[in-house]
Amino acid sequence: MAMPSRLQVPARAKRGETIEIRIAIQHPMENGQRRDESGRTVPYNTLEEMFCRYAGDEVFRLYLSSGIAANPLLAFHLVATRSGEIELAWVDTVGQSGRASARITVDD
Amino acid sequence: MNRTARRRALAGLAALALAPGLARPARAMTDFSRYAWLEVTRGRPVWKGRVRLELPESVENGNSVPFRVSVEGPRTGPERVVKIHVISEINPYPLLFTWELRSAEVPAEFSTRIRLAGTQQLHAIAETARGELWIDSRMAEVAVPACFDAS
Repeated sequence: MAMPSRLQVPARAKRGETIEIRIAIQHPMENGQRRDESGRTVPYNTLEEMFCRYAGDEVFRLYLSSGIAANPLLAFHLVATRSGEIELAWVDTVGQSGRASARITVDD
Repeated sequence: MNRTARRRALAGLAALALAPGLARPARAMTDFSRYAWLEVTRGRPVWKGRVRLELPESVENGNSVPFRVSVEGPRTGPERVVKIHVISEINPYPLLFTWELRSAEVPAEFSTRIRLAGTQQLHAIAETARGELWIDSRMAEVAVPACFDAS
């Protein structure tokens, strides 16, 4: 199963500016209690773990559950201190993984 | 011990005994939810304050509820926030998420959409670098619960 995603990062920022980052990932976040058309239980499978790197340094880690709505939409902030890659990577319960990245240029 | 020190010590004891700012697991919590609370708090006091949890007071659909959490305070030093946990009182998987902040470049503010299995109180607990716990709790009324049951 592919996991398409959309990452929104501003292309440029001033040094010290707080920027908003948003990511939308297509994932059903199955809670293990839903049944399919044939009446079989759809097994639990959600995004489990996600991390974010900024210019090569890990800046946060997120542990998720089925308490997050399907097709998760996450928004957080970063203080723009240096130019570099903003990378997000994640893995779900069955071991499928995905990643997204975007570059930000920080001006003085 | 001089008088001021004694008075301060007594005030401290009284504060602990009455503890108006102290949060405890709610009676409405399921056993799973209580377990999540105990896992997160590990016997430490949980103080009301610093955390701000925002979600609608009343929602039509529990499948996708706008949610935002933020914590006041410095981004460096022992008072900085290193973890934010969100606990539901009745969801089958009560620990909605744990966010571990690992850099001063990340302000303690996070938004997403959550599932709520019914009308309930939601708790956001922030943990500082020196291990203090701060909480905000909000009630959300849900007209149509998230489909955690067969549908």
